[in-house]
Amino acid sequence: MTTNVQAAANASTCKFSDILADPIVRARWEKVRKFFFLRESTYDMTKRCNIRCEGCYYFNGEKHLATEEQDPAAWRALMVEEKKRGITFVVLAGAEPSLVPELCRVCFETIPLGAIATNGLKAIPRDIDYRIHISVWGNDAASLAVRKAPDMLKRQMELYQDDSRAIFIYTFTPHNIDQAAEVTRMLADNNQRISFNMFSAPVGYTGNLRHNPESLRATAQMMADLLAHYPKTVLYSPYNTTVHTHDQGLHDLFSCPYPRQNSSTDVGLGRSFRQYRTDLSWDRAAACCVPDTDCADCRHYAAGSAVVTARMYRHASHPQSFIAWLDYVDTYLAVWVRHYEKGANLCPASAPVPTRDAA
Amino acid sequence: MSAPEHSAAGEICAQVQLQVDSPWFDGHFPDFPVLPGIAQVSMVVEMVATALALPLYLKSASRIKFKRLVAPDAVLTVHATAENAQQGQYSYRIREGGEEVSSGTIFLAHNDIEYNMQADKSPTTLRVAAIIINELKLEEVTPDSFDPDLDLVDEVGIDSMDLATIALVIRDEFGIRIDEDDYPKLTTLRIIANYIDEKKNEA
Repeated sequence: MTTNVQAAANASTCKFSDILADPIVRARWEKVRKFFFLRESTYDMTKRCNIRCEGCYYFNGEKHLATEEQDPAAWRALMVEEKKRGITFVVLAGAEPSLVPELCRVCFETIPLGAIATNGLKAIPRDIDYRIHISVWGNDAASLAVRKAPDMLKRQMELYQDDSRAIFIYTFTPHNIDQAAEVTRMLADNNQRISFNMFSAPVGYTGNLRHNPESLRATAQMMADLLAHYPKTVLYSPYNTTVHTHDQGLHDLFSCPYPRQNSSTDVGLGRSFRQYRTDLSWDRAAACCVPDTDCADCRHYAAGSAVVTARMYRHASHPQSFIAWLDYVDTYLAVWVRHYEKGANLCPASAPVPTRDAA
Repeated sequence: MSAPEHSAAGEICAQVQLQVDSPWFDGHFPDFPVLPGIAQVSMVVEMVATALALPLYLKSASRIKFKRLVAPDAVLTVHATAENAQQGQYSYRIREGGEEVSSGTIFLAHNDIEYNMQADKSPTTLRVAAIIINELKLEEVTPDSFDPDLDLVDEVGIDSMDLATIALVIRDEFGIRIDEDDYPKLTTLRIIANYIDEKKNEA
């Protein structure tokens, strides 16, 4: 799709009002702007998991040493308090939320917008109408090696067949890049959808899943190919590819606004975000969407959804940057928010990442 | 709200057509929107202040009774009578189609602070107030009545994305550069206006 603004994309800087003068850009801006009310926090739901994956964020650091609150009434009370302090979107994650559906249901009943990160081996009841992210780490042979679970994709696809809540999240490592084509084709054939994540090393990680310049370039090429070949299956944009396969991590590119890297409590994530452990405690010093990730290596999709989105201001000085940012936010909302439908990408090619001085 | 009318009996009266998309109904209550009681009292204050062309605020209230639920599409008639004009005492009643919705007594006072605010407001302040009202779609506030020290984060509930949007519009309008680290600190009308004036003086 071509916009009038793209014709002026070589302009050095541009007024925000000029960028929004394009009706297509204006319409997309108004579409995503309606969701500025989303304020997220994340919650570890249980200490248990039915598999054990190499590099799993949950079992790094001290989170998994917390006690486990299993009382639905305690969770309901937490959700009521979260709602009172303005949280409108919950992310239910570690270790495996599908093992505690009654707690997930309590969260949904109190805060109706949210997402659940699951390995997809146990169905989450359909009345819990959150977005469901099913993690995929390669084809089934690779998953067996890294996650010690046989037939993962086959089982995940069967469990979430015809389930519009589900989006498969493919985590690229240096060793499964080519397998993404096979996985995406299978999901496309089965009318299921996929988005992408990048393996981001936990602090102190010494394994071989950490990305390198060569694997970043190869991943970028694979993402571009899959987006071009499967536009209805792949929820992504060229700008997603740019920022998540950049030589620099998200923090170096955009200065992460999560409390762990942001001491300001004036406004935004630094003010409202919390990452709760299974004992319902939280620690500001460790609070981000993927705690215990090495910030220098963080290219995580969940981090990007907040980090890139929060940097609207610096993207709004140049038409191409802004429509690339709109594509990114449109993708993020489609991946995370139930019933939000992604539009066609407005920026057909990759846009450069603006620096903080761009604004 | 229609223009308030004075009756021969000394009563002030106005008609109010509620708007279904009014923020008053946000969360009050989910799936069952009802006009809050405080909104009804606010209507009376606004009507009397408009009729008398005075900046008035609610000092106290007594014997307030809410008798019927008010739906978002209701058309209300607001009546107020001065019981003791010197003390700002007014009795009021609100009706919907002949049925009384609420009634009570309110005590109003001159808002000297607001007088001073208006006197202090520079063109920059008034223009920024208009931008904030437009971008945040605030109702029941005008650039003149906008409290310059109202905390946009704590008291209005806006987030960083709204602040970024306001910063972009201000950047356009005033032709100034706003540092990415600065706009999250621009949390009141007064702070924003001072920031703009300082930037323009630097240029």
